[in-house]
Amino acid sequence: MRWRYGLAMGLLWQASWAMANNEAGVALLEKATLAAQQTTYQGSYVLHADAQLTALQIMHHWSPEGVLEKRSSLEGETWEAWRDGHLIRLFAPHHAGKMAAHTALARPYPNIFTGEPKHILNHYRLQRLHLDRAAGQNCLWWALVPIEPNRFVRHVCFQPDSGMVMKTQVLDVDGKVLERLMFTAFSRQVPPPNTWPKPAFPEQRRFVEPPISNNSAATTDILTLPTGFYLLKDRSRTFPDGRQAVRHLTFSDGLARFSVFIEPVQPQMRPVKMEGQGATRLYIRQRDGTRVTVVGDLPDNALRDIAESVSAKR
Amino acid sequence: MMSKHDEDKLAELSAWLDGEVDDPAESARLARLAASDALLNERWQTYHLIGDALRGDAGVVGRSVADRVREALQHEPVILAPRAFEQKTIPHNEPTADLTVDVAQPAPSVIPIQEQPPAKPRMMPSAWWFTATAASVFALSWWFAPQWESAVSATPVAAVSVKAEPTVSVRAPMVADQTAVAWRDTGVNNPYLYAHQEGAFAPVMAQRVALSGEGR
Repeated sequence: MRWRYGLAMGLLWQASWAMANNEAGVALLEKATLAAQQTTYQGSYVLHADAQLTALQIMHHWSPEGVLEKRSSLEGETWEAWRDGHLIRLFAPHHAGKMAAHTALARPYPNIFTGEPKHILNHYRLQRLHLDRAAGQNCLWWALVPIEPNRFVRHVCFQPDSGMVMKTQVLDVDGKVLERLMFTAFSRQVPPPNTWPKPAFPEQRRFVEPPISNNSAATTDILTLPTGFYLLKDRSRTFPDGRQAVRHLTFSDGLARFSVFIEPVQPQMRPVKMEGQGATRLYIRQRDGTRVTVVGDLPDNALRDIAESVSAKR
Repeated sequence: MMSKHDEDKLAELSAWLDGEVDDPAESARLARLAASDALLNERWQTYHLIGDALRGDAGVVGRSVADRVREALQHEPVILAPRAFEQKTIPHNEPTADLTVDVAQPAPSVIPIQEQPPAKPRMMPSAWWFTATAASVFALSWWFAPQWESAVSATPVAAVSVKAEPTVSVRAPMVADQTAVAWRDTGVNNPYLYAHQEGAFAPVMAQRVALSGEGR
């Protein structure tokens, strides 16, 4: 009788311990999201991917009325990207600058948790690592280890008081760092937006991007989704070379994100560079007159499985 | 033999990577320099490789360099008592050309934890000192971590090992990969990557955290 009581207490303790851990983890991720979105800060940060180092600057001003954010290059191609609510404008002296801005904006650092923290922690487990410093501040590294296979491991260094993500890494299953982002300077002192210098270059492009609803139950029957991923967007788009409309679906698990492009094969299709960027990989599968392209920060075999599942269902 | 100017630059980089440059303008200047200067760029990657090697990770610059760094580290004797170094002011506007790169030479770890005096450019210490510092810092972080952790999260979470699945290298058989170009340039040639990136511009709303920029 006594052993049953002991077993029950043990299970209860284990369950409550896991729950407490999960709650602490959710709180940590929520704090990081709030710090990235709803605080005011500025800093310089670097993106290190594919043995390339890119230095960038961010000014993020938050008030109850809204967010104004400016990102710019610190070296190489010069550009500026301004976000005012839903409106994003790219300023650059020429096309190369616009492309560089495009690449930088694809990593909305430090706002790396785009999904519901609870949902993220259903698919990644937090593991405490070690202390570090970044931009003159302490931070503590945590690993987000995928529970299911076919995802990359993330290491995130959180500033303890604010939860701000001071450094982050994406690692493959062998522990190889594919991409890292880190603040090299960070300050809460930001001049009022009306004193920010105006863009120094002509406007190259503007986007009006309404926020995407984050419904973790959204799905599609066109492919087999890896566990935990949900549909963000399903739309038709055209590419600059004038080919016919391509179906573009975007999925996320709150941390990783991938796109699936489905289109009929056409003779005028141009070759595509198979190179990804840092942790972003690309896989193309062409079968039965249909090209399926999967792009995202997932391991190659995950992208392949996704592409194959599209072919199987069409 | 590294010139004094190069040593000065590396000292700046060292302080910057240790998070000890408080002035945002100065830090931005160093970030710009690290990205554009061949010596600093290479050394930046080496520093991170050492950090990665100490943590058991591999670096992004490839196995060969990582192996060389690890090998160099293994052959470095460890001195546990760091010696004092002369401090000096470093001019910021000197030219940066004609530099040589010695990637195998170890450099400071990027995982210090103790509070340092206010930011001052420091002399580049020897590789021995860096190795010893890295080891000391690692030991200190192990010692202090449990006390400091409470500021971030209430309880530690159980360690989980990653299920290592063999990664299949995938290349599309029907698409020609014509010329190797830097990834910064591939966006033009790769509409899929371009379109995928664009998807990240739109803010994805977490249900419990609403971005207040809406409606501006």
